[in-house]
Amino acid sequence: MLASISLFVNLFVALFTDIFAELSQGKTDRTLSFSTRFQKDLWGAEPTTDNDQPSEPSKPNELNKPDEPSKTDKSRKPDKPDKIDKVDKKGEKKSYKATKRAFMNRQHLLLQDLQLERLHFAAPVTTEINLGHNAILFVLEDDELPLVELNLYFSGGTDSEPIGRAGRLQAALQLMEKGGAGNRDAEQFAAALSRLGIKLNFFANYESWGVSLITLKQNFDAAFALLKDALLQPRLPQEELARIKRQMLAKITARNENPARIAHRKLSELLYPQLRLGHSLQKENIKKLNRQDIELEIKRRLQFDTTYVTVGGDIQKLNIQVKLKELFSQIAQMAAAPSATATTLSQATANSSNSVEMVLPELLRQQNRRYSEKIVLVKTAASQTAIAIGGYLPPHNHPDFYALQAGNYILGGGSFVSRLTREIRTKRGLAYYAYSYNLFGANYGRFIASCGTRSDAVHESLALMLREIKGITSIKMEELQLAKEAILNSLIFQFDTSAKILSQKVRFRLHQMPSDYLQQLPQKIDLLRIADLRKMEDYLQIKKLYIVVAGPESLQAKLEQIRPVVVIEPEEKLF
Amino acid sequence: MLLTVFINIVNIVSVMKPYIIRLYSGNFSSSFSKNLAVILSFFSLFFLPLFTLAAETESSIGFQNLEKGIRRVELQNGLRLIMVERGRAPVVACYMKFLAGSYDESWQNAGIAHMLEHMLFKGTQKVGTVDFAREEKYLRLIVRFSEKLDIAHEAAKAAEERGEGEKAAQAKAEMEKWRRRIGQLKEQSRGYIVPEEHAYIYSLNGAVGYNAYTTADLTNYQIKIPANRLEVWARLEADRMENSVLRQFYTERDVVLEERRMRVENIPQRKILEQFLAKIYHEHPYGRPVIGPRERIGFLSYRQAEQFYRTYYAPNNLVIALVGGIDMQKAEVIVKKYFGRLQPRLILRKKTVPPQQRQVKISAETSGAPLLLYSWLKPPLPQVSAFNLDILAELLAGDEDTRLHRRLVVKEKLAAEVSAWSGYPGERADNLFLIRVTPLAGASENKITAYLLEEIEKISNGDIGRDELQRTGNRRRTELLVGLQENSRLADLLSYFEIMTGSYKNFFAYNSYLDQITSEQIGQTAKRYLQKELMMTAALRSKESKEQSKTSYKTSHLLYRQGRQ
Repeated sequence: MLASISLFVNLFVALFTDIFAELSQGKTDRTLSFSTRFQKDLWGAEPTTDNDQPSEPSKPNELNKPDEPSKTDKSRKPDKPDKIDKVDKKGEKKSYKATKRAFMNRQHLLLQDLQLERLHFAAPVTTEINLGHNAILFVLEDDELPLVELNLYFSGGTDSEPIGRAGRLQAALQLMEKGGAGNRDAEQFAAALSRLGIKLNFFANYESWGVSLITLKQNFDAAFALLKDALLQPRLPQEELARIKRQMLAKITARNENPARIAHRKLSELLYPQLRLGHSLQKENIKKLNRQDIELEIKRRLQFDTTYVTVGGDIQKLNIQVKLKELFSQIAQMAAAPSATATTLSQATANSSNSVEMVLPELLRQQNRRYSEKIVLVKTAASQTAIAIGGYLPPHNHPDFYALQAGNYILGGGSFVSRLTREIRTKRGLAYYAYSYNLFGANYGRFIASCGTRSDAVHESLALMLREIKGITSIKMEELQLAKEAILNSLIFQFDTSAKILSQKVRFRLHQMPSDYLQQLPQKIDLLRIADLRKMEDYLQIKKLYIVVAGPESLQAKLEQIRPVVVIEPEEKLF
Repeated sequence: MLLTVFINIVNIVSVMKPYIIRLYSGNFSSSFSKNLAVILSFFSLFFLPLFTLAAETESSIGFQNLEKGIRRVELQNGLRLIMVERGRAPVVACYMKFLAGSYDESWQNAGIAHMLEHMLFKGTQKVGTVDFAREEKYLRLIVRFSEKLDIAHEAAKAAEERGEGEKAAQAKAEMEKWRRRIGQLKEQSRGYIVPEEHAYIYSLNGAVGYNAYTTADLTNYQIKIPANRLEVWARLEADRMENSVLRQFYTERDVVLEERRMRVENIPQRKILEQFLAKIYHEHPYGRPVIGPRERIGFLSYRQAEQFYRTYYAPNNLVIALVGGIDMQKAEVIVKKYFGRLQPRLILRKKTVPPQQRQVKISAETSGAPLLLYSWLKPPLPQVSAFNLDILAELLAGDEDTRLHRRLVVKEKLAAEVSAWSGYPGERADNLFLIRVTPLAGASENKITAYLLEEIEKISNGDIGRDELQRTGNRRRTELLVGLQENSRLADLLSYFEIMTGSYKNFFAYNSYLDQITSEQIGQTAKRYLQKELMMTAALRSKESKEQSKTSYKTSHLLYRQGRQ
């Protein structure tokens, strides 16, 4: 069956190739004769020069199988030929059409005469080791460079931080990183790191927090000792905390300079009222932070549910497993040991356990309904206005994930070939950026579309964005095919560095993805049909989307034509 | 012995340059939005001096393995190809650099290098069109009418400035006429144009990171593609470098204006940096922004872009780096097959008068984050002193474990952040050593300046500990190695060294130099170039200086690259 289709396609292409060649030959002007030569040279398979080796005969990659030309034909919007006829001679109308059809197969021509070798690739195998104490280790050896990279991910990130305490985790981690540890003060600790060229960073995101260590292989032992100190015996000096607070406050002051940042920040607030996920840090909370809070925070955070550890690089003979086991039994002992702070600690944990906040779109929709079907205009004075549109999606491990990814590729994720970029940037020059993306977490998902444009083009750009989002209900075969092939053919880039492979392992675990998720992904994408992409319609219904515009107040009147407008200041609370 | 060492240093350093890396930040899902995240987060670039691992035998082995595996081929037409076969995944990063940047522009065509970079995404005579012969008729008309529109626009502007309302109105009416005609032509020619067809073909082939950037010194085109599709890349790119059609030039010009709004007009810190460069450099090309001055971008013309393309986009001005899971022999055959027939061209470069030392002290107000810039002119890198300054920048403020950070941020509590660079905005002429301070609210500028000069003076007197120098180098080593894990970083780096210094090997030579440099050498260089009297400053002050405006941008390094995305 497949074979017969591809034979058919071959014939079809051959047919149009001939037409194209004929048309070209019929012309005599310089450009076209040039084109003909060009076609032979560039698209034709000319023998190569000097040390020409015949490339191994191989099947063209399956993923390159051409679209069915008839379908392609429809999707390439034929522009009204009658207008062209005003300039061209009447007799050329037919050939114009033929040329156009010939063109439609040309890119397949390009791919067809290329002898693509099969891509041989077996994803490198990561070893999974249970370290005990709920800690799981992923190892991937790679000795090209004399480096070792180690990451610890503790489950629970800002998602288990009540909004009244927002910022505490971040401050705690910065203090662990910079405040000195063990028998070294802040300055000595920093010097010890740079003396050996070690990079040690604490991080937190929504779903986890942790520490990342990069070192030359030869310094691994010293590096690991420093990590252990920072994690288990941080000094947490007052003056360093004061400095960290100063920096955090300064960042809050600076966050209203860039309209794109403002728009995205306010959109998050709008989508997730009363949740940490949408919360912007507040100065009063930062000012309140004190050393005792920080200490409690760290103690509490070390009572984790699960830890993932990734180790990549040149790790031969480093005994990493033994060292890690030691580390985790030490952490477990610390958590179990009674201490002076034990009571306060248990109180603290009782008041707010490590429970993760629930992100329930139906509920959130109730809470933010006063902004539904409105535009929130955030007053800014910058010369470029930012538009951000957002809506709720299901979490990462939802079955609709695949359709949503393919659909987003077509709408605004596929860079220059996406509808948003094409309509707003390429065709009309209204913006430098116009795109959309899906963001998935363990317990949430969201869709964001964004664009930056001059004030007098805001109305037009926003209208176009909404038009394109609405238009996602009709997807053409060719678009779906492109999305699938682009996603599938670029999958290999998920594996191009060990760091990427390892961090994905953890991310998928945290998101509770099926264990064979990556293996299944190609098939899931490949099986998508246009009907599957219809699932997007429900998530992206225009009335379910929230709109934020960061720009001058004077835009209000024009924007009212699209939806009622609520004007706010960048730091004004929405709820 | 001493003498030989000295000669070696001179030899090595005479061909060394620093390189540029791009920092990605943000946490978006698709690669496109990742790029955008870079833009949105004030995407930042900085110079990173590179050091080798000569001191540690074990590490050096890893490094030498890499160096040994590199293959360089020079085609008959002058094109230089550098290849590295590495990694487990069958993917390849393809970087192409032309020695053509804003440095090669004049006042009349300022911004054209970057504009042209955008135009190279618009297709060729075969890509992006259904029938070029017919499309060309429209293209020519659109260009001609757009030139008339620009002339009318200039006239209207001039008349308005002189307050001649009637003339301005006349010119505007004329503009409207041309706009209408162009609109009709665009509509009529639309049927022949296939927008973004390059991107379309690349996407079908699973390529990612299809992008480009322009700096003061060069223009770079980049993509990552599955290794079995290298030939798709070669076909498209050889064509693109020779037969590009600059269609939709005037629409794209609007896109670039938006880009400028986003990168410059929206960011007070960037605006003052532009003014600073203009004051320092005057007529020198480094005095003009890479993206072009706001008032000139709108008048850049198709002809100027076409001319720039025909002048500088020649194989003898091009370096290609391919890094990844390739078969080098086959890759060489492919590159020769498609790029081998490009014709070399004689490129005459105009002589630029070196910038003069001037007294520069500017200031401006902002409602956002304040900023202090301290700067000194320095020679470009072929000189030893310039290299020493590169290390000094790292030593002074490359990290938190540095002098200026300890002094200004930790001890005196005057600043939220401090950083230093050497080599801004480019390395083809005298350029700047720059220190950048984000003052805290209410901090005394005079104190900051005094402490900063005090630290520099100490260094000028050779007051640098062995330990301090060693720490500086070791920090950089790790940074470098981490960067080298990425195919694209290595490709960017090798092509940079090849095109700027004549050989990628200088990258490795440059690294060995670190182990030989002494505190005295750095001190002497600082004494000569970083004199108090030669210092130039720019200050961006908070409007409500009494209110707490202690602002900082962690990522707000200076940016001087204009990317397509």
